[in-house]
Amino acid sequence: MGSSTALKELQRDLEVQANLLSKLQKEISKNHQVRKQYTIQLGENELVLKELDLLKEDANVYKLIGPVLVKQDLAEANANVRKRIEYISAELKRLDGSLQDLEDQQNSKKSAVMKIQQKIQTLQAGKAKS
Amino acid sequence: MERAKGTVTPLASVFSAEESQKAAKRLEETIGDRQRELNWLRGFAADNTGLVNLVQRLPDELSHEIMVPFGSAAFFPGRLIHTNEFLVLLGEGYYAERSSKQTVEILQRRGKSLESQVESLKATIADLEVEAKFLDVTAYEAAEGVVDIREEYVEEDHQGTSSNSGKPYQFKSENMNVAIDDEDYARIMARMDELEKEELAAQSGSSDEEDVGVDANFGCSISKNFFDDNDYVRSYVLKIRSSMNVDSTENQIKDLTQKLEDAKTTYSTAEQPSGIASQRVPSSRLSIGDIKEQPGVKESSLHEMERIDSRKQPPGPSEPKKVQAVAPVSEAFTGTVVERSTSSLMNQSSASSQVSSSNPSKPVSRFKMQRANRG
Repeated sequence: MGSSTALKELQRDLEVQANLLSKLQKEISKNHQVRKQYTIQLGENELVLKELDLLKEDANVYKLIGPVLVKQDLAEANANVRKRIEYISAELKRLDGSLQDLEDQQNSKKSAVMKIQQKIQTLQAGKAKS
Repeated sequence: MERAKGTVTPLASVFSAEESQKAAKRLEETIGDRQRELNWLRGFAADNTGLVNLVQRLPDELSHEIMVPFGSAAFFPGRLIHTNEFLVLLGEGYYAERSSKQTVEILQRRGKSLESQVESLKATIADLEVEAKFLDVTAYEAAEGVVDIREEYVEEDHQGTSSNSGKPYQFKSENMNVAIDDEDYARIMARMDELEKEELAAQSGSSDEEDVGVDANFGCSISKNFFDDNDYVRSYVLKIRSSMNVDSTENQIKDLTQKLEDAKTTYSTAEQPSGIASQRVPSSRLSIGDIKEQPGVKESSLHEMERIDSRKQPPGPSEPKKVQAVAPVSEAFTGTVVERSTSSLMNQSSASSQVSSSNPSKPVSRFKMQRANRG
């Protein structure tokens, strides 16, 4: 009964691989969502920056921190927004990299699953013959 | 070198019907999502324009009497002062103090960006719709069993430069049109002339069957030639015509029947030794059916002639041929030859494929036979 134990092992293997694959897919979808959020924030920040650039030096700018509006210097606000944009861009880049990584992993896992499935099939076929 | 060989692939094997239907469905869903998004954006745009109107109107007065919302359910009366001071949210928690005019400027910029978003979304939706349509059509065609015919166009060898362009054409007729250059054209025209002559010779002194054949091959121009060149048929036709126009006098009828008799003898003699009798008989029968479908004068004249026939001579087995020999020619003279011929051609081709599998027109052999008979 060597073949049947081998088959069982393969099936367990397949299960493990499939679980890993689904985990990867989940991560990828999460990545997509986070990226979407960041993209939206980036757009918003760019809009803010544009408006801030259009403001005159003497304009009053406030920042909402929690429940209160705190008066801010225009130059300071401008710098903050720029920094924020930089951060978001860097984050987006990082997410892109990780997404690429995840997709590679996903592909390799997929092919691994396929291989195991083929093995199982051949084993079953051999069993049916014998 | 290979002669042009086409590949025929059923569309269903490339795009299976169910798969494309599924894809189309998925696309429809995406389109729905995008549509919702678009509506959302449009809502924003409408809000924005409303806000612009309000902000423009507010500084018209020094103060406004309003009901101030208090919680979700209650209001109390209040008064808006400082009507030209706005604290505008720029996004990301940043607010700026602006006047009404400046606020309107900001809002208009925002409206523009919204508009561009709407436009891009619209373009996306249009794209998706085209895709969905294509998939729908593909699914339908795959289900219908449409095949994709591809044929390599290989230029004729006689040109010497036989280069295989290797460009696949969808249909053969298309690549025929593309291919005809001057040399080919001249050659084809020469061949056409040859065939025309043969057809004309074959038709002299005979009936409409050849007429049908001619039309099958060359269209109306030959029919014209046919009547111009052929005195025999012309006189024949004229007589019939007069018998149709004037209430047929006895003389004309006699004349006509005499002609009919002639035609009949020509026919029968032509037909006795011929191997294509089996082909003729069904087609002539068919022509009669055809003629009887024609309404009005033609039909009545046909009946008349039939009557004349039965009066003057005992009905023979070849009687249908006589009638058939006359009526279509008379019609031909009235100018309806092309239409009728094609219609009868269509009938004939379908009928001949049912009744006899032989080729409907064999001009050369017929011509030879008839010439032998006459000479």
